[in-house]
Amino acid sequence: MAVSYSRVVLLVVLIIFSSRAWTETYDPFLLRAEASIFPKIILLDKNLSIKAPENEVTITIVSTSQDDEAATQLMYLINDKYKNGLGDNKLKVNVTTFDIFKELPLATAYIVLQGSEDAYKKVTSYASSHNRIVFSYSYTDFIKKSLISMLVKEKTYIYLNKSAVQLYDIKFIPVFYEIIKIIE
Amino acid sequence: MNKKFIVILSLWLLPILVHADDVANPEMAQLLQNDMQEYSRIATQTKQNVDYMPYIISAWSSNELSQLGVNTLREALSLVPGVDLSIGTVGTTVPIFRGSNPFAVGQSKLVIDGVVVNDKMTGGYNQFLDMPVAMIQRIEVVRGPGSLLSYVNGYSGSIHVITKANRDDGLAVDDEVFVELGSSEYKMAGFVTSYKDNEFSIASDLFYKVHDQELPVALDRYGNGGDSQQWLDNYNFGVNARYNDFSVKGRLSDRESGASYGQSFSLSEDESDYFDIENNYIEFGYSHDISKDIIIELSLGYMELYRRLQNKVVPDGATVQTPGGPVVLPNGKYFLAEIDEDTFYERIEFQVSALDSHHINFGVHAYQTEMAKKEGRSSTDVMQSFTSYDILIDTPRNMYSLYVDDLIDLSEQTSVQIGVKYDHYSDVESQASPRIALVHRYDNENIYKFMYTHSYREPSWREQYLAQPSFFSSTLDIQPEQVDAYELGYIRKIDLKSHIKINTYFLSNKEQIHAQNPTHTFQNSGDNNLYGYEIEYKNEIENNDQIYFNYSYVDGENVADQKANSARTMVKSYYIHKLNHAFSVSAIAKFVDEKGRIEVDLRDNVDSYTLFDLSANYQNLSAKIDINLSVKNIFDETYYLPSPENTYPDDFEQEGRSVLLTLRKKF
Repeated sequence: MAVSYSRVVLLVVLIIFSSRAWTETYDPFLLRAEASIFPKIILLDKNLSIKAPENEVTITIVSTSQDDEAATQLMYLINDKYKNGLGDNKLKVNVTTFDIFKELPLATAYIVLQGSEDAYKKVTSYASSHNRIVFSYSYTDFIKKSLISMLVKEKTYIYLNKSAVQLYDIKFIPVFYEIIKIIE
Repeated sequence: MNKKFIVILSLWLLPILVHADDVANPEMAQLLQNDMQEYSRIATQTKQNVDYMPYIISAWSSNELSQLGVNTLREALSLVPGVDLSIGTVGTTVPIFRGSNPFAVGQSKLVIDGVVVNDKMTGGYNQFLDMPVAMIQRIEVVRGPGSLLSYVNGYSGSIHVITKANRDDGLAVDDEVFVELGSSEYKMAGFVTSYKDNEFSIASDLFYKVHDQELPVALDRYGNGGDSQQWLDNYNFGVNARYNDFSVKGRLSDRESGASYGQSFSLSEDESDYFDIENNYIEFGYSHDISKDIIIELSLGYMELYRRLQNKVVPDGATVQTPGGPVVLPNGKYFLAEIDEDTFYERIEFQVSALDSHHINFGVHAYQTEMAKKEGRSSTDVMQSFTSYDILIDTPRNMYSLYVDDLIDLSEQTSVQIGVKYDHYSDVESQASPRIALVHRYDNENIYKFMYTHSYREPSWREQYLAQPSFFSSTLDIQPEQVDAYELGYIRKIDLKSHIKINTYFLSNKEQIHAQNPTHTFQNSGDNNLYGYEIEYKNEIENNDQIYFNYSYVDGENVADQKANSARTMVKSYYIHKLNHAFSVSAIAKFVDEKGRIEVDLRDNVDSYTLFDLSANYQNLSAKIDINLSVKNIFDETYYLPSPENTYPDDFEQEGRSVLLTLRKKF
């Protein structure tokens, strides 16, 4: 059966462009790195004692209902990594969705997965008004006013969203600013 | 009094509390930096950040390949952009990278868990190409010269296999069993198992497979037709153990197969003919952090390779040419070979990151190889009596290599790699292989790469040391093949899970070695240039669909001003669709363009072909069971790989439709 390569190329191109809307998915390795790194950053907040009453750090992971699998996976990774606690603090991780995240008590920090701009900004607005860190899965969500994200490339980079710093008004210990990259 | 006491106590405690925060948090900051370093290391080691490395790389995970029904390393290589497969003597598979010299066997290197397994006799690694994907964690293929390892010099490419037993991403090795059943009585079973405590870990893998395959042959060079014996009996057993800074890894393998298309490209009617390669190695390692910024690695290894062949190379009643004139052999002629290679190898390497923005690797690598056995026997009376002789001129090959490379981060966006490797041989001209590469991340979506590499391939023993002319002859003072490669790459990251990669290259090949001449003598046969480009596209759609597509084009000359035995254009693609959490279906399409011939070969070009594979995959996450059913070459396309001139006039017909069932269970 001789099939010309141009037909094969055409077939593949048709498959690509007839596909449904593209959305983003989650890199297991990046989730693993974030599960390890994000909680440590929480401890660098100078005012942590106010946000972690009775030495209990609470992290709430917010996602769409479609991404609950990734959110749950991230929760498992954090719980596994910090099963003996986070520093001298107890650690509690919740998973919720954009629709109902306010039903949970105010958390020490939020990790927000992919979501629409409106839904996302409800979380960043709520968290920033209470001076709580919002970590985003992707630094591309800095446009939605998350505060911190990270990327693993040839090195590991932690990014701080310059345009959101004043909004959150969170003070980190000085050494933190030596580690991270400030971007807009 | 109480109030005064409380105020004093508070004033005394306040600085302590504030100070406590300052003390505890810097410790956490240090742990944070350690984490960042660790994830950078894992990302580099496991090629998570492959797009930012100064190479053109394709990386494939076992899970991805398994979902597609891809079950062997050989099959996985057929998906790589710009890689074509051809057939050498005794049916061995020879991957061809970017059309580069299709008649040279060892232009690419196969590295299994950091150990180079190319043999010295031919330069090939066919004995490991049936390794099941179920045993492999990841396959990384570098296209172009150089290698991910400073001490390995690929000529046209290098293939790095990381087995599950040598998992390097910091996660535990899963215990796993796997079984495969398929057409032509194909059966395979194996396992991966591990044990770990704080300081000690050990992991092991094993597979055993048999395959009773025959492929039709219309005519061989003596005018005989029939079936070529492709049966296979293959096992592989590997162990990786680590105790603190010490490690040991070893592998025992034996691949016995039918004589296929024969040692000298004639079809044998004797079904007892066989070709057996037993390849075993063991390597002891030591890795120690001398300081925070300096790591030392030591390794010491031994590899043995036993090659055994029985092949009826001349059929009954055929006429052969001898120095005394033509002779008729009424009982044909058998050829038996026993060739043993013994290799000791050593390496010491320092990895230094003490200088700001520099990551320096330097070391010494050496090996000593001898022809422990090189006996050939021939018989013209159905193996009643034999004439014995040495197949090879006894010339041990010793090599030492000095290498250094420095990856310099000029800025957060731009890094440069500068390296050089100097290899001194006891029997081949010494070679220096410089390399310079630049990676520029214009922004997080656009990455540019430029690479210049000079590399070489040392002649194999059969190209240099055949003791007497038979089907092939060799040239004692043969020179290494050399290449100057110029590569440009561009990566466009469309979003988190989709990208387009485009690269173009120019290869200036010199002193190419092949035996495409009337006397079948391996010799340096001139220079040639190749150029081309490759495009890769990958996207995941709504977590349910994954599409991958690559297109490669190569033009120029690879053999005496011709472009022979390799396709100008190839297209490879796959599509995976998840029906739900348990079921997925997938399809693979591969198009390989027609292939030209060398100038004196007047046959028509080898036809292009398109192959389609379909797979259905069931995954039970809670029970950790995977079942895959795949139909390969679903339209039963008859297709051919090229045969050398004056051997099999109708080329090598390949396998038609086949079915494969795979079961995997993790514990």
